[in-house]
Amino acid sequence: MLRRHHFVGSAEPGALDDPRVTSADTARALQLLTRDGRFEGYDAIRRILIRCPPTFWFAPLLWLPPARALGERTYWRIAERRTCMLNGGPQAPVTHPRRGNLIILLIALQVLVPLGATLHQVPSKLGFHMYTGFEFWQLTVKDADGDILDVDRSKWIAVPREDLDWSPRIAPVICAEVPDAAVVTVRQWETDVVTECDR
Amino acid sequence: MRSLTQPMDGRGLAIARIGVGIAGLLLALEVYLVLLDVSGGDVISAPMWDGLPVVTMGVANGLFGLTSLAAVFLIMGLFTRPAAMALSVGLVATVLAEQQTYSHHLTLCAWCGVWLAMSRSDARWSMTARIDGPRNPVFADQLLLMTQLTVVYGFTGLLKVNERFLSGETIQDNARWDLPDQLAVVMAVAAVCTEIALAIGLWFPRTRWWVAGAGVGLHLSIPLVMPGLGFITFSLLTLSLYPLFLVASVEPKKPSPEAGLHLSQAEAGQ
Repeated sequence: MLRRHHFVGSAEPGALDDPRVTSADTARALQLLTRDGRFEGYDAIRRILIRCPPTFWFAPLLWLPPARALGERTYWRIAERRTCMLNGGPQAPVTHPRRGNLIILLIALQVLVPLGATLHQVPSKLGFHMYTGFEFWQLTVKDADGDILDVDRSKWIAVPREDLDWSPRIAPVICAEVPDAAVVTVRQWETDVVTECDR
Repeated sequence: MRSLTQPMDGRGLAIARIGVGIAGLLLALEVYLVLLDVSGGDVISAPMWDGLPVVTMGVANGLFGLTSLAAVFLIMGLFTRPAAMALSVGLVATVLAEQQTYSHHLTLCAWCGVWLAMSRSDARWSMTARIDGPRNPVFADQLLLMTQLTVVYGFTGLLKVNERFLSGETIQDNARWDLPDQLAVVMAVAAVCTEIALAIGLWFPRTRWWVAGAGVGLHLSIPLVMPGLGFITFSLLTLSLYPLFLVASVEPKKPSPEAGLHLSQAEAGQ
């Protein structure tokens, strides 16, 4: 407005004359070139605003948290979605410079979650332990004489998941609903858990 | 190794999005049947923590509605990022409400939903692409889905290297038919080798087509040998991620002299 800045479109001749800026930079974000260096995106916008009389009074607020984080995020979000009218096809993509670090963190998360689950127990949730050779859990119900009773566990269980601790769940139910049940044994994770029914 | 900003053919990510959406729809149905059982009160209820809402018919319908609607939007590629996140939230909420709905393919689907919510998966073959025009995603958009597949194959393959699985016993216990011991051993060893090969081989141009072929064979044979909707869902999920490794990168399209000429002509005509 006060000719403090000279705007050059990225498609204009001479846009890339300054060796500090490349076509990839201009495709990615707004570039501001000053004697102090090159600034881009949100950083460029706030530096432009602080040099303009109508906006200089509030521009310092843009350096304060959380305005900076919010502004950066908003800028890159808009930059990612903009379209180029000169180019009808798919536009050159832009990527947030910090995205690389975030991706490394998320890949680490992808590995650490199942690793933690595996170290905790196999099989367990979140570990991708599908059919990895574990012993299926077993239920044995005996009467007071020690004879094994024929009990169909599917009556009380929707899905007999191997990663779910069944002993505290099924034993009380069987003791309550099977009249002759005296001892309920759940073998799971290579351990026998024995529950005696109170009669 | 590709750079994170390398533009990619968006069709790979579109296939992944549609595959995850269809798998999400199948999962919504699969867990809904379990929730209906639990809400009837006949079977044991197993919420993740005490104090969580009891699974009633209303809760079951609500979770089914959220998950299936999110899956449909994901397939269509409309409001894709919120839909992908809603699918993951719906699946996680279902497991929190009732642990008997848990499965490893549900976990994979939920993770994929999160990664899709962070990507431009609607760049191609979507309602959004029809409205706004096609775009090119970049390698960063699909990388997390690719590493997720590697993690799944890596863990499940390596953990199967144990005496019980390699003896074929696990496959025999779960097969539709009585399998001879020797055939079960061959199938077990082949499954382990294929899964470990997929975890590594998909990343290398020389091997990716070979291991992808082996993976297709593995995932077509699993639902044939073992009964259950879950196996179909798992196969669909994993196979829909293969194209991410197979699609080529593309060069960003630059304004051509012809484009400038057309613009000048249009301006001249005004």
